[in-house]
Amino acid sequence: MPERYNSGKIELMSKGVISLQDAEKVYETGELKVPALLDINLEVTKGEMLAIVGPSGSGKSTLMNIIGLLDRPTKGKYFLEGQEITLSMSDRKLAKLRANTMGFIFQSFNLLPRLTAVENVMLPSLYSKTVAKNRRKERAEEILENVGLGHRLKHKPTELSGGEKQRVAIARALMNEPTILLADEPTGNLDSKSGHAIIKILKELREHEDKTVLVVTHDENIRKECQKSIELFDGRIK
Amino acid sequence: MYNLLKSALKSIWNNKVRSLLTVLGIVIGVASVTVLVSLGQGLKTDVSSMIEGLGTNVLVVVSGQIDTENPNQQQSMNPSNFISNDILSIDDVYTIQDTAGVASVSPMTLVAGKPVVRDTDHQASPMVMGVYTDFLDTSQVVDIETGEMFTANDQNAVIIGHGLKEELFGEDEAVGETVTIGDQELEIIAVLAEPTTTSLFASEFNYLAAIPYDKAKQLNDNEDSVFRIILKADDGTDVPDLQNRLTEAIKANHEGQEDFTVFTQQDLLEVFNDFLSMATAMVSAIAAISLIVGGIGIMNIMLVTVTERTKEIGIRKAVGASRTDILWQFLVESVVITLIGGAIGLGVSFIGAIIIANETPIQPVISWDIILLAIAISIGIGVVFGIWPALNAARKDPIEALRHE
Repeated sequence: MPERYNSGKIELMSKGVISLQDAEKVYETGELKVPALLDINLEVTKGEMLAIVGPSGSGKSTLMNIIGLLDRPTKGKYFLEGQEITLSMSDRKLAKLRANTMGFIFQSFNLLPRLTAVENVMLPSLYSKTVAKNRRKERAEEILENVGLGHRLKHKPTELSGGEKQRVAIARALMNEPTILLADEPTGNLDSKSGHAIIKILKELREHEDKTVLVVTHDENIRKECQKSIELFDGRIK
Repeated sequence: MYNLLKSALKSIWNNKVRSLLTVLGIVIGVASVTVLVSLGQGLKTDVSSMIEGLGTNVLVVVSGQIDTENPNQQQSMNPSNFISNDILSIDDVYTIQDTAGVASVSPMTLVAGKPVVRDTDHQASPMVMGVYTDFLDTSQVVDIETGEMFTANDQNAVIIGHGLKEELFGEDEAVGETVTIGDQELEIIAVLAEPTTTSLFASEFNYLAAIPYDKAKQLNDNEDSVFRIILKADDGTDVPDLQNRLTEAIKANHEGQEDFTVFTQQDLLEVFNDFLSMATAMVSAIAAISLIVGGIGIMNIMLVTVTERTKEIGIRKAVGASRTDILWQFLVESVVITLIGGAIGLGVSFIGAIIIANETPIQPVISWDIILLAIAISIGIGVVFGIWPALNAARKDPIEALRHE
């Protein structure tokens, strides 16, 4: 059973890859205030694999979106690799950080249906300078081979199985050599065998490439595979 | 940029039918504007060649005041004055004859309501005009094809235009034949050459029966009436100066009233030219409305596209696209659509110009200016009508967009 991960109060500056301090997310719809996340203190160090579990509506996705820079906390501080993510940061700056440090893996794969596997994998490189232009295609093919899809390069998502689609999505997430992988229910749409293969890939990425991996999941088995886990309930870490 | 273009072309290709229909509005708009502007330019080129073909030393006096400086002013041209018979008189002709620098002069006197009759089967109602013997030399519009111009001694002579000859005589010989105008029997002593189409008074001279001035006066119940006066300046005369001196001299005849205009033929052509420019601009403006309609079509389809591709926008943002990236993506797409439309429109207008050139006397001119204008219009429409959908796309919240199905 992995230990419960709840760091409590942390010093202002942190050596963690991800550090949230007293973070809150409250949605305001007119008079009504709906808290999605409250009192979140979280420290993730490099190379960790962290499971985020909890029932539906407990704020797992909101937490993931904040960490992934798609959303911003309404209160509290967020340090990403030691850099504070402030409210005044421009969209351009956030997009750049997202392109270079984050790799998203979604439950429903979210591949662009009209692009081939290689083109889908190359997509993030359009928005980053990490990979030189003339290296992009080559690199995309390499990653696809690494996830076992060397024979599916020119296939479109509709021609791929669920497990294959998710492996394309992982390859895409790796394209810009990010330090953090964010997987939101990555096995939710897969049978247990393909799901297991996906988790195996994520674990290998953590072990061999020192990626920090966050996995939102319902699945107790996946939770057990992770070194650490936090459980959310009603927007708080339990 | 290459990637943007590639993805734009791809998404346009993926919606072939829709893109084609959307583009149609721009095609029609660009084609109609291009054809109309090129028509205008073609007509202007014609007018310019008329100016070049004319003697610069020919002046015309007409009744009515026409402000050649400001031809657009409404009161500047009163058409009823322009055709009036009672403003100019034979005295004005004498005055002009006495003015220094005038080489030759001829009045033009209309003989109204008198047909030219060959026999009962062959008659016509051309413009019958009483003129002096120098008329053809003075006007320098057409030469004589066969025969001789009448002299002061020929009182019962008539010369006829090429078109009139064909109507009355067909292929038959006309010179030496007799025709009747009113109660006068006149001998045809000359037929005019066919005027070139670029000549300013071409139709007038093609369908003309010119008779000696005194004969015209006789047919007009012995009244002196002058419709127009045409004159030629001496070589080396300062034409604008002569124009001013003539105006002053004739004004003295008219109790100081300037109810007539002395034109150089160039003045007249400039008026035509200005009118032509104005007409071209107005017609093109109407055609431009179709471009606006086309643009609204583009905006509509781009809004639909943005909505359809909400998920894609979310994905692109998640993998690192900024708002600016998304804005450019959709803006480039709409500009590519309008550019394709513009290119097809230009192609259509080239075909249209060829058809017009073959079927009508007008030669439309599609210059580089027009081509660049069409391209600029296409890009402009793409930007103006694409910016709002593109902004819409750029502003989408990535989380909401990712949830969109």
